[in-house]
Amino acid sequence: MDEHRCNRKTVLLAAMLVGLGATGIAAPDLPVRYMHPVLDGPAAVVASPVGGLRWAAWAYRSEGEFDLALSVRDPSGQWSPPSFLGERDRLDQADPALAVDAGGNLYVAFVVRQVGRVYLSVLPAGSSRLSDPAEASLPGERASSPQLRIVRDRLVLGYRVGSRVVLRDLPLLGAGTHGVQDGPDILPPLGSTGSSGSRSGGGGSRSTP
Amino acid sequence: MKPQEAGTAAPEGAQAPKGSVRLGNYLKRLRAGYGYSLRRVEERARAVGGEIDNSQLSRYEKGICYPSFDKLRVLASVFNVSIQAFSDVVDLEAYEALKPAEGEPNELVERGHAALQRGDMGLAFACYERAIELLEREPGRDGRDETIGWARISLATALARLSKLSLAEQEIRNALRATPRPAPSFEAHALLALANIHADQGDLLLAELEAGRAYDRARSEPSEPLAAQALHTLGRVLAQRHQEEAAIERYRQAVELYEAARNDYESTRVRINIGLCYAGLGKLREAIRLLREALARAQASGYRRLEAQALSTLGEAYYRQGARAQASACFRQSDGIAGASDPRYPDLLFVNAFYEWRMAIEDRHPTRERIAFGRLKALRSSLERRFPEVEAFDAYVERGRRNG
Repeated sequence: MDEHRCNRKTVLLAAMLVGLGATGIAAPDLPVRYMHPVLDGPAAVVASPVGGLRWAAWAYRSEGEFDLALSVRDPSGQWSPPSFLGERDRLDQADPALAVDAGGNLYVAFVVRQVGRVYLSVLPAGSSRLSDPAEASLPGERASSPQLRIVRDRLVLGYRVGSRVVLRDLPLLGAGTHGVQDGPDILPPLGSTGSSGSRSGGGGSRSTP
Repeated sequence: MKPQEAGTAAPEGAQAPKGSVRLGNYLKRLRAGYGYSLRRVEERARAVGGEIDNSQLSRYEKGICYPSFDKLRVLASVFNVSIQAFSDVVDLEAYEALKPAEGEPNELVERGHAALQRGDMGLAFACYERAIELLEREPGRDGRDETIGWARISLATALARLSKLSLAEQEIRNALRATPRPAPSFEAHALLALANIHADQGDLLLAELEAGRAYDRARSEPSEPLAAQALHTLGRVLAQRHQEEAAIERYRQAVELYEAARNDYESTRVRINIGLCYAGLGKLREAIRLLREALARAQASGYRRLEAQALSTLGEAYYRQGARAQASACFRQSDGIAGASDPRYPDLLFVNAFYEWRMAIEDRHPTRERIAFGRLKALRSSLERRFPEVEAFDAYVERGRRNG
């Protein structure tokens, strides 16, 4: 994303995004194996509008690097054991940000410190596997401090590049069916045109040409 | 509107046409359909606040000159059709050159079907139209009216694929009007054709009612091929309403029936629709798997339209997954097919350009954004069909107008 002039609305939204990031987590009940501030980074927590779930993600210190830990609390208040992303890859996955859309799909943005890039991964509702992280910051930028917000049917990602805040407007997973849904070719059944019958069946059955 | 083209020569001794013979014939048919004389049209024009001299109308009908936009507006009002219909009629002159000179009507209809399946919509249209013209010259032929009726339904299908929806709808009305006591199967097929045209126009309630009636008829006959088409149509209506799970259920039932009838073509089409539904549900892995399978089937069988559609849909799934390089590659390949075939598939080209435009905006790439926006503007004028990308683009343009 090129450097751009932010209008007043954009600045406000950016301030909201970054400001909310600074408040981090204040939940009294914390996920298992979470050791902030001794070892781990601050956790991002978000409540899902579906199923009474609560998600937490944090940078988990392990074997000299940070991996991304993700844990979910069910409606009974029980946190799941964390699942990890980027284990033993000699890279630091850190500063996670979370957002959940109305369908319960979870979006996780995080930075890989060594390369200074923000990545985005999605956990579709009902699934237990995060999608492969896709680079969400633009090439040539040293990005940090990602934050996420859902605005209508779009996912807004904000991150810092030096003293600037960059915003990206991305599609939500499953924001309804788009594209072209074609109906059938309505052609006469066999024999209706008095043909000798090269087709099998009726109502548009065709053999391969 | 285009100038006079091949195959539309005026009668000998007449003034050299500078207008459109096809448009002239269309106007004459409309007038005959209402039972109006030239003078009566002149009176009706005056009643709707316009001026059309009867000699002027006669010149339009002979293709000697084009009506001005104002005159077309008045004629549209008199004959209760859209102005778009006149423009579409003139566009169809491009396919005159494809018309077989002669042939056995049933054979021409079959050639039309094969062309439609290959994705050659213009040739299909030309074959069906020639078949109807030949049949109309044979008043004594056995079952002629019914055969013409079926050919008109096929013609309407080709017109809808060419994105000439108003003309397609008129063609179905003509088919029903010319068949006062239609056989149940004929009526059900006509209803299904109408349902799909209405779904293309975004009139989903009407489409659902028509498809539902056709499905009831298919079950009472019973006719499995007709049931498959009705379920397919009901599925697309549900998908367009964003009820993807219910749509997938209908589509799966349709696939089963199509497969039983060995209708690989429609079965492949439905699989693409199912893939799109999964993408809509956010199940992108499943969507991509299904779309790749459908793409392979379309490629193996030479279904050009379905190949372009599978690639376009796959591009959309990749875009949602954040895999932009793969998305762009799919859109380019789809463009290659949709833009190379004659005629082009404007709906698919529009979808591809729409996502290129979105990606350019997201990447803050003004040059790519301008190019894609220009393509969208150019394609929009040839699209009568409504789908979410068209609506999103129209809303964007409308917002731009309001904000000056």
